[in-house]
Amino acid sequence: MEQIFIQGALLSGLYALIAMGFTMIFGVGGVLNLAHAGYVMVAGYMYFWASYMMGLPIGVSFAIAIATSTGLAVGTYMGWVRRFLYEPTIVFVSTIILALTLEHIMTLAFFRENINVPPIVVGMTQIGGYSFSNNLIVAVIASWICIAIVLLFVRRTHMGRAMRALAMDRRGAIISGINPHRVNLTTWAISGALAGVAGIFYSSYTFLTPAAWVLPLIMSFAIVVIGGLGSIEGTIIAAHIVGFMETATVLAIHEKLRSVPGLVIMIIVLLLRPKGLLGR
Amino acid sequence: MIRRLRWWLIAIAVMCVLPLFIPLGVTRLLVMGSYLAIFAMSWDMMSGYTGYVSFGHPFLIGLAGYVTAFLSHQEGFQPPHIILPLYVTIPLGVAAAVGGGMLFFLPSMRVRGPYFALVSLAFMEILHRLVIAIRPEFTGGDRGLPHLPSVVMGAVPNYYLALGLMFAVALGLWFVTRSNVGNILKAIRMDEDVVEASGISTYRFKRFAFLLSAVTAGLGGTFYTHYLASIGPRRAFSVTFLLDIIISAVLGGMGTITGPIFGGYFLTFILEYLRPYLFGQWRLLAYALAALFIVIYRPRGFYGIAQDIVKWFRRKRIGGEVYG
Repeated sequence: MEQIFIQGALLSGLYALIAMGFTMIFGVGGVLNLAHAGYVMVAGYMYFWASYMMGLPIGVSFAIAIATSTGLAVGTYMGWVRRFLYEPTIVFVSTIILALTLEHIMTLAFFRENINVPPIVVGMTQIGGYSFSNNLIVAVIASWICIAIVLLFVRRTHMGRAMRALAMDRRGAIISGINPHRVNLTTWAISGALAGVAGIFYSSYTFLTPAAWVLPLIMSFAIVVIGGLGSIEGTIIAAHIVGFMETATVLAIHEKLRSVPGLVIMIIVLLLRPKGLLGR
Repeated sequence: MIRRLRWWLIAIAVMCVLPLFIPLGVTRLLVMGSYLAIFAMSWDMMSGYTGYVSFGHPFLIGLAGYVTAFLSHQEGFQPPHIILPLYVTIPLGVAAAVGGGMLFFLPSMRVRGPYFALVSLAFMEILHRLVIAIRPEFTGGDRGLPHLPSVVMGAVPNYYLALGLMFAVALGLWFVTRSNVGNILKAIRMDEDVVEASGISTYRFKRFAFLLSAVTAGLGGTFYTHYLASIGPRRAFSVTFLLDIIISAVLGGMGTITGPIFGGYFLTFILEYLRPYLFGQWRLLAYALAALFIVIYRPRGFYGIAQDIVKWFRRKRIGGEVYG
């Protein structure tokens, strides 16, 4: 039971990080970035490369991983998505091909074998008679700090208000002097950074493999749909529903059915309440 | 009538005599290309025309394949079961694709835009997980079902089978999409609300497009499974397979039916002929990068490029007459 709780909390935090970036891009720009989970995977590899193959200190490795995923996100937006904001089909197809391209590049660089990433923080802590690895606990805390920072940013800063304004009414926001390209670019950069943080912890939670973008992508779909496409708060709630369900399924029923409950909830939500829990 | 069909007749005639002049290996490639073309057309019928991007076509194809494989396969079974002949199992497989699609995809076609794509991908993943985890003694689990019976033996008979299927599907879809139905579907892609407002039930037309797409996917899926004589979850429900289908449809040109045929053959051949020059992963990387560039810079695919070339030649000729 306690195991479900702490592992579920970790998985939910990571899912929230991944899905928040995904939903912010949709809310502000109106397009879905299917390469998002690809950034997560690349960030995991970059962290592994910097900290274990190069032997750099942890802080520098974090910076390298996050900078890579942010750079990829900004590159995607500036490269072509900017020109196709009104053609969602092309953004869809091109970003999923980009994710595949990233998978092939990572396979070339690091081969196809699963890599077990050593824990970032070593040691165990006793909580209520059960022992948990410090790595898990640090990951939970770090993901919550990131979530809090993003929420504060979106609510309290000028740029955050501009993002919300664009999500509510694009034309109105432009008339009141908001530069949509700058706001979009900032959103993509933030979402890339979130993907980077998520990638570092996700890789130490499971293992690294070039194909590890498909499952996070599908799960963040489910979360975003349950929470309401474009709603950050809804995404955080939905991430916890899905994360705890998944952990419970893995521990209680069957390891290979891990993604099924979240997807079933997503389909039920879509058919009964298509705008999601907190969607507009 | 003949005038509209002449290019088709020429293509059929050329493809029919082709096996006499080409080596067996190329014939086998053409078989694979034909099946990929069928899948791409099936995707195009639904997604290219109505704009409802489907990420769940492997669901339809895999469902059809698994049903026919399960009913016709002869070994590796613990529980006793009835082995049905292929002329029973293949229609049942197609029916399964249509039925499963009706049950799962049609309700989700009421939700628009990105939602539909997400739901369809979710269905593919759920089926993938269920096939692996639930009753592996029936579905073969991770390994799938090997040693399935074939419809016909040998490369050349299989070539004619795949070709006949491909042209039957292509002509059927071509006639449908060149009629008013095709125009309405294209209009749905452009602005669904406007079509709805002009008194046309968009849901009925989307359902029609979907049914055609599912029948095509089912036909392709069953025959493809028996051609390969095996089916496994990793090949049937992978994102790679999905992307192969989508890339060949997009490369050929979405919403054209003829484009995806070309895209299917092109993809099969380019992947095979790059083999000596680029090693394993480099070849896949080159292919993904090329697809990315074509989607970004030529979103209308080869069909659009061909149209541009034809237009350029025509303009030049007319210009010559006027000014010369």
